[in-house]
Amino acid sequence: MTTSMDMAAKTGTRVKASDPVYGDILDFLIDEAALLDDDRHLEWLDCLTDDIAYKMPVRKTVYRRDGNGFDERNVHWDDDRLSLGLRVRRSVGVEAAYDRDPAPRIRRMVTNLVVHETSKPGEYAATTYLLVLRNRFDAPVYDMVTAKREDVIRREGDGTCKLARRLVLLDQTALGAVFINVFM
Amino acid sequence: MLHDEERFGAEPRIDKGKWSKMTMTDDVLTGRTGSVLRDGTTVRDLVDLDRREVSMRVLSDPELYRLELRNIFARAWVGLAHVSEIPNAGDFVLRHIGEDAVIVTRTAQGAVSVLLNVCAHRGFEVCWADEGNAGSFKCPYHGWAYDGSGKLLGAPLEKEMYGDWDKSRYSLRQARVEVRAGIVFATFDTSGPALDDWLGDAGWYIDHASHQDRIPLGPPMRFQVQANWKTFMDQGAGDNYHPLSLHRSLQEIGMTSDLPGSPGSRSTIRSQNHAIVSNPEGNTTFAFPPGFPLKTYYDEAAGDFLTFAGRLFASSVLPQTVIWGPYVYPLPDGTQTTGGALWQIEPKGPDAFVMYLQNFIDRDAPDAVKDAVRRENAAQQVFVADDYEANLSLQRSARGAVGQQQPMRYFAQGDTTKPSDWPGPGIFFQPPQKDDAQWLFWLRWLDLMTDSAC
Repeated sequence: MTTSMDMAAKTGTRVKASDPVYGDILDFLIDEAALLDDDRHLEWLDCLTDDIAYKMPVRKTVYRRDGNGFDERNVHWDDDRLSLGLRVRRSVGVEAAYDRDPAPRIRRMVTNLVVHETSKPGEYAATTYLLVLRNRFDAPVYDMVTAKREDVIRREGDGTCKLARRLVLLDQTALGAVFINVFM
Repeated sequence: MLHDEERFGAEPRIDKGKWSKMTMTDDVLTGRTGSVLRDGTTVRDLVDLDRREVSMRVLSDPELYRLELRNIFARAWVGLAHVSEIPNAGDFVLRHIGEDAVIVTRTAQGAVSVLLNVCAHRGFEVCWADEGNAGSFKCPYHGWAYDGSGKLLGAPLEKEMYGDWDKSRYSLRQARVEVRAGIVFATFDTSGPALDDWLGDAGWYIDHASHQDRIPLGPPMRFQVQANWKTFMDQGAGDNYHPLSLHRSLQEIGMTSDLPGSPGSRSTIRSQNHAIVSNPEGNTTFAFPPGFPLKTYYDEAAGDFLTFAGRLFASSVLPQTVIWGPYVYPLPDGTQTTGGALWQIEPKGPDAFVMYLQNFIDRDAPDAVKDAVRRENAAQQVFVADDYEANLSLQRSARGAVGQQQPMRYFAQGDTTKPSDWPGPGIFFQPPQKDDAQWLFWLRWLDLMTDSAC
């Protein structure tokens, strides 16, 4: 099954890495990851459009004849601005959020950016690969997640970018650790 | 849509005398030892019946874990799937009983069948997909092929290889199956108790929580927790003491401020709203009493979530099944729709389990409602996150040689007077509930682990 967010948007021509638009989007995605890694979640909310749609469907192992296994009838995340705000509220300044204090050390590696124009002026389809590593306490190993992200980035005339849609396509069917509330 | 009469009208179907092994008195357990572990400790030594304590070694000892797979999981009834997941002949989903992968499928004759995913020839897995439709299950190794009931259909070059052979001797191993309240249950114990006996009084609550037309929104959400399966099931067996501390973040972000008590106050204990009923089979149901007003859990914190609430049953069935429902979702037009959930806690070694979360909704619910429920269920995990912290922490504690000797204590005993108007069966624990229901879980664990019949 393909997902309904499967980038109907990605119809336009590719934006080359040499294009200033590509640079703006790359800067935005790097800055966005840094805000999350540095626990600046409230500022991260400012990176989102008011109509943000944020979805992480479950995945199944299926035979090739049955597709890629993504199934958005069940989701790890299916969030809008309001519910993302709720998650952020729990992530900052809540004493009893025990998965947040002592602070987990989370590093988001964002790579392989590909940008396409979309049918909407000022909106770009941005695909990235994501590696999230998390370390807690004195664990010698990391909790790890990899995914492909399919974003829609809205770019204002002055080059300011905001995230309008994010589809997180996980590489695992069963995540290897509890990643509830870790923004991807 | 359920009305109170439907929900509470049914008489309990449990005949206490049916399975005499389940007497569960201390006398019975005192006389048993169970297996002797390598250092000379017996399984029985790990549970102190007088002090109501359990050694933390039960969370981390690989030897005990192997015994559990045999003595508990291989004889347990496990809730694996909802019947609606396999509507057509050949439809299948792959699930687990303990660490054994099983194919849940529908035969050409329309029966639900649960098969061990192990070829009768040399042990290769005959199914590699989480779901799909298959006319037959053909082993990739040598090509033996089976039908949906596990019967061997044929093998390549079978005349040359085996001549005139009796194919009926080489079926996939088939589990006993019962469909109850829309849930497919199965066990590999061919001579053990009936499902009804395994569930005990929890069966009555499950009948009210789930049905064949309250169907999964989709396939399970899955993730691994680095902790023993019992860290989860023990809490589910009746720990109503933990929310005050472990889930305090809910109050801090305002998610429970509408509950009785002072709104937003940290002294609000969610447990006071629940009833807990348990049974000697080690299963526990959290329930709201009849007539309990519909509560809205999420309206304040997140105004566009559907209100979900009341009369919620969560039945935790030893060893790996939790069945939720009915969630009641009032709709804007004054009607309501109902939901529920199936959780599976799959053991993956002494120090890991995989959570399997599948949410249910009335088959005829409008799409917009399904979308809202899907979003809400994902967001619910925000606070379930707290619980996994307990699982992970207990597991770290049980790692060391000294930590393994540490007892987990269940000595708080409460009042078991059942209100005269309580509609369901079971041993009723008056709020504030203490450790009794969880202790019954451990007694049943000990019963299964020391039963000489295994």
